[in-house]
Amino acid sequence: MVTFEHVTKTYQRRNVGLEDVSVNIEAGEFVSIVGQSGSGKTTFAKLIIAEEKADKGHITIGGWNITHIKHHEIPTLRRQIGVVFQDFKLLPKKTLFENVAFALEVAGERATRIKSVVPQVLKIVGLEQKMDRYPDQVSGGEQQRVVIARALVHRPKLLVADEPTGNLDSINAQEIIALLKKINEFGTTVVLVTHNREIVNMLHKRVITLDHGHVIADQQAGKYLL
Amino acid sequence: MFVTLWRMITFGFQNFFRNIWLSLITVLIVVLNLFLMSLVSGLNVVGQQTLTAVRQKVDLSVYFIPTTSEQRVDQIRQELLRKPEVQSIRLITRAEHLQELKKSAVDKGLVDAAIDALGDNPLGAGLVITSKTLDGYGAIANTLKDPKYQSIIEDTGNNFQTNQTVISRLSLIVNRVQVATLWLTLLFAVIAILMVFNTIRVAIYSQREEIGIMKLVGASDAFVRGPFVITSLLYGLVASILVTAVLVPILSLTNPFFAQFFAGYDINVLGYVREHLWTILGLEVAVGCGLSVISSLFAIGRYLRV
Repeated sequence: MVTFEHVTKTYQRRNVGLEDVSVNIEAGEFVSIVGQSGSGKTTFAKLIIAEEKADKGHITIGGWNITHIKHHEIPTLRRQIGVVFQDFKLLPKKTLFENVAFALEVAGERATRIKSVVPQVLKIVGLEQKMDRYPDQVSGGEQQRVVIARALVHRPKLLVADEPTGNLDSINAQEIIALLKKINEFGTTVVLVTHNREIVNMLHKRVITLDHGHVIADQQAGKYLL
Repeated sequence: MFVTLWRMITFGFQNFFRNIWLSLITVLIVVLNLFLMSLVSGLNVVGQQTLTAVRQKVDLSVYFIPTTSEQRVDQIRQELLRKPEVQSIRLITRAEHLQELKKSAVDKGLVDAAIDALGDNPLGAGLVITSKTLDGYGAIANTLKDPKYQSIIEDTGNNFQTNQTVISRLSLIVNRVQVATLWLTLLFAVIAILMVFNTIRVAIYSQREEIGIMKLVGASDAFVRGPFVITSLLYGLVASILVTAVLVPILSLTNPFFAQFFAGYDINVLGYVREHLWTILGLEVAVGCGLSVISSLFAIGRYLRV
């Protein structure tokens, strides 16, 4: 599903994001990318959704080599990947329904399908009663569930969650992780970028540990090493 | 295609109304600038009309000796009409000349007494010549210096010279005023364009995070840009309608002062605006919407690189 071959990404002033990283994530896997701040976790996620481009190496997503992806092809890639952000990234002037619907609208989905699918997805994340509210009218945990609903609504084969629990208390964090596990059980590949030791140790799933842009460990049913 | 277009229009309207304070402030700034541009353009039109009216007030009167027959004067009129610089020539008969003298005389009794004493109308026929341009009067005056006209023209020479000096000065002033108003209009137009551009830029800057989110969710550049263009179109449309709606009552209120100021001249600002209302509204809409849309297209570009 996701293949990184000798990928290097360097930022300005020679700040290393990733250096010679080779990783292969199979379809249906639940993989945690862990590491301390500045280890390259977020760069890894950004490279998957083409928010950044690799300086060296090759990146393949679902058989599509996106190393030199053209600007106009990026929306097509992103419509096939669900993304969950730490800071939610919800559109503040749109209702919860409209935020979720937006992911389908950009893809040109029919209005009738949007009207039937969006409430179903919001029901899965437990927000069908609040779909007419605006993001600032619900809690942080609920906002993150809307983000998950938006990431799921177009049924992506890959879900990238970049620190999805970073802004949440432990109860809400557990709920979000439970939701991600459930999504994975339905066959979606989940890439969880986190530095939350507790969550990683509880998952008993594959863990890739990054440090200063290098992969220092890749364990099946692993634990948080650092 | 139509679904996408419809969504962009819907989002554009949503963006306008859900960010109502931002929209109102942006519209207000566009209104102020359109008003400023309208005012300067209006002043330009008034200035041009005034200069045209002043030009029309200038003419060259030539009076012939009383023995010159009116047929001969009319013949001269026909000859002068063939000159390219001549716009029109009005013939004044001897009787009309006398009537004019009586009208302008302070002591009408004295004029009547003098005519009675002479026993006949001592005034000759005349021609009132209007030139197409102020510079044309010099050429016409030179033509009249021809000996075939000189011998029958009463009181020439100095009169023409004096008029020519005044006309030259007036021509110079008119040209300078025209150039000055043109530069002033351009200056204000540039200031207004920059202000509108900056306002739209700030409006879009305040929504840069939303643009980034739309891109991350998979929106294409056109899908992100479209609603902002529609919103900008609304800014321009609302602003131009407001400006036109404000301009007409203001002109109605100030029209009596204009009429008083331009008494004796054929200048009617309110009449002009009423006559050209749709053209003015069309121009306001075109300038307002054009400026807003172009500004938004430029401003949004840098935030689409997510």
